[in-house]
Amino acid sequence: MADNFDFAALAKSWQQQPVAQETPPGEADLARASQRQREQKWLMFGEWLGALVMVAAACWLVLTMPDALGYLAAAFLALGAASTFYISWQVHRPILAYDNWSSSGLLQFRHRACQLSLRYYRYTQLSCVALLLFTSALWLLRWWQPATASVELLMFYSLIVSPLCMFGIYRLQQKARRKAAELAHLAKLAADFNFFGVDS
Amino acid sequence: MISGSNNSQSAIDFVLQLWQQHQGAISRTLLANEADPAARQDLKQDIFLALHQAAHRLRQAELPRAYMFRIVHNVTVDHIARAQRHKWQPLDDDVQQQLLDDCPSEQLGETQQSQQLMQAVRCLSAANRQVILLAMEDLDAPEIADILQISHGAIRVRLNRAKTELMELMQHGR
Repeated sequence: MADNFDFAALAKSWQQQPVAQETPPGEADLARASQRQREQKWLMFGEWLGALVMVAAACWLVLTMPDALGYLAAAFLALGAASTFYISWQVHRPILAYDNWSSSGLLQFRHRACQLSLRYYRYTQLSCVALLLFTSALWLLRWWQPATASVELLMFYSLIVSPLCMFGIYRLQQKARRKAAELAHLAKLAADFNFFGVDS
Repeated sequence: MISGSNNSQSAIDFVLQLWQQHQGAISRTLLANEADPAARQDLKQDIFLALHQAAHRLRQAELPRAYMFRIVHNVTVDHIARAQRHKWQPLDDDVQQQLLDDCPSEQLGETQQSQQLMQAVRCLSAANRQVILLAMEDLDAPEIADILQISHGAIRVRLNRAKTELMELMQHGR
């Protein structure tokens, strides 16, 4: 069907079409694009800083609460820090050498990064739910008194941690919904660029 | 420090020279992939930065034109991949309308045909649009294979499918 198509004439027409004169780029364009790339890096560094705070909190817990509960909380925080660090690197690292990629590979990379991001949102939501459950467990301990939970700890988790967790679950749900739409868009594009399985 | 600055300036000059040589093809690629002028400006800046960062390798490339197009198309594909976040709208374009308005009446037919072609190219799937754009800029199959990093056989199949889709779009006047 495509063989009957006068593609050469079409290509000629394409090349001869009037296009609005784009001003050639200059140093100002380079500076603006570099600025965008730097912003992406700063976002990554900001998240790494968050991961470091989590590591510091884990160390503090190990030193101040050297018991099973303290170790468990520290392990939970360390796991959170490691996953934040890894996901942030995967999602925000700028691509510096576009010439080393094929379009298909680039899209697969973006698709994987988006999948990771979505999983990270879901796991973080689950962590927030776990903290809400922990707060409930503290209240149960206080009511039934099989063990003691200090009032300060109870107030800290009830008045600060729990509201933040609920807000976090809500915000993460919004982000996850957007990310899911982005993932569907990327999956479609990646499949389109997979060249129908003929690119080997 | 001075040497670094000189290197950077020399890289900018080299990329600008390459850009000017292929300005028409780059402009058409930008127009075919991004209708929004502000987003197109961002895309242009990102392409320029990517070319600048690859200037050293571009200089040493066996086929500098193909090497440049690989970067241009990869940055464009990355832009399309992120377009979901930016609410990409491929079909509205005041610039093309402005061209029609400014066009002398004797060239109006050709301009309308060009605009129809541009609209059809924009309606192609992103992968088909990529291969059609390269073919319409007179790049041959080995060059396209080098740009897209896929085999010649795959290029033939893809180009054939892309041409069929383009023909259908043009026949249906989309």
